Amino acid sequence: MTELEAALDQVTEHLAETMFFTTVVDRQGDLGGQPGYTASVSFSGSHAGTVRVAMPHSTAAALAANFLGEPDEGGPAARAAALVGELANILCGSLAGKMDPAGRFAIGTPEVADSTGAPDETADARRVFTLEEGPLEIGVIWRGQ
Amino acid sequence: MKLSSVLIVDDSPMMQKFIARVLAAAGFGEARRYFARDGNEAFALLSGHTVDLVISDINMPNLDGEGFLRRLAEDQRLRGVPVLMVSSDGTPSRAERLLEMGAKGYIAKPFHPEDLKAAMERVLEARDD
Repeated sequence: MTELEAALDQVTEHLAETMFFTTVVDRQGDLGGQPGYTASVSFSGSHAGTVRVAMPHSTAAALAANFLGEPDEGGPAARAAALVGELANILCGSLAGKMDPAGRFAIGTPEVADSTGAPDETADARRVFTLEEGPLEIGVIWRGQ
Repeated sequence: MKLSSVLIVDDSPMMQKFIARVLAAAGFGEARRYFARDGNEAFALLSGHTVDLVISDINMPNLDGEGFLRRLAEDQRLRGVPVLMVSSDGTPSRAERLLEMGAKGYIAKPFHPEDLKAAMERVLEARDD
């Protein structure tokens, strides 16, 4: 496992437990071709790259309910989509800080799409986690300046 | 420890709701809550309302968290308002810079609700000393 993959595992597990009140039950998952959302956040500074998060609609809706402390009763799609962007944003900042604690970064605004699309084959790290609520795919491009 | 009113500054409605949820769970559910989406809105709101605490994001459009801190520092009436910064930028250098700019506390996302509560209490205790 690379340093980036190890950092991604740690950051994802910490994020899941602290703000989404869930746990990673498996580090080997599969989106299974389900319709879902994708959020991408770019960063620049000491290092530059992108964090891309994809998950099925059902996972996003369940995580949004956890995050907001509201029941998962088919909340608005916009809420679930915004959740994916928020998760990607937090992951991006947290991962950058973990990989380069002395670095300085500018983190972009999440771009959310109603599609999981194909995984980015150029990613330096790509993991598909299984949360209690469903699968979550994260791809990271991490480049030195 | 008294918290009658709080201003939550974040361009993400999701984070606004999350922080409000944490406040309620921390026993501050009775506090009057104001919301702003960027530093400009926050500054305008503070011009007309008094709050005990500001909880602010950093990365926001128009006027970001650092710009907001600078504007507060330049305003004789508002420079004493305690600000707790919340950000997804977890680098120590960022935290140091924000504290030098006048923030009274800093917490990096992701955080456990208990950590945010503790950070708020530290800021409020320092204010009361």
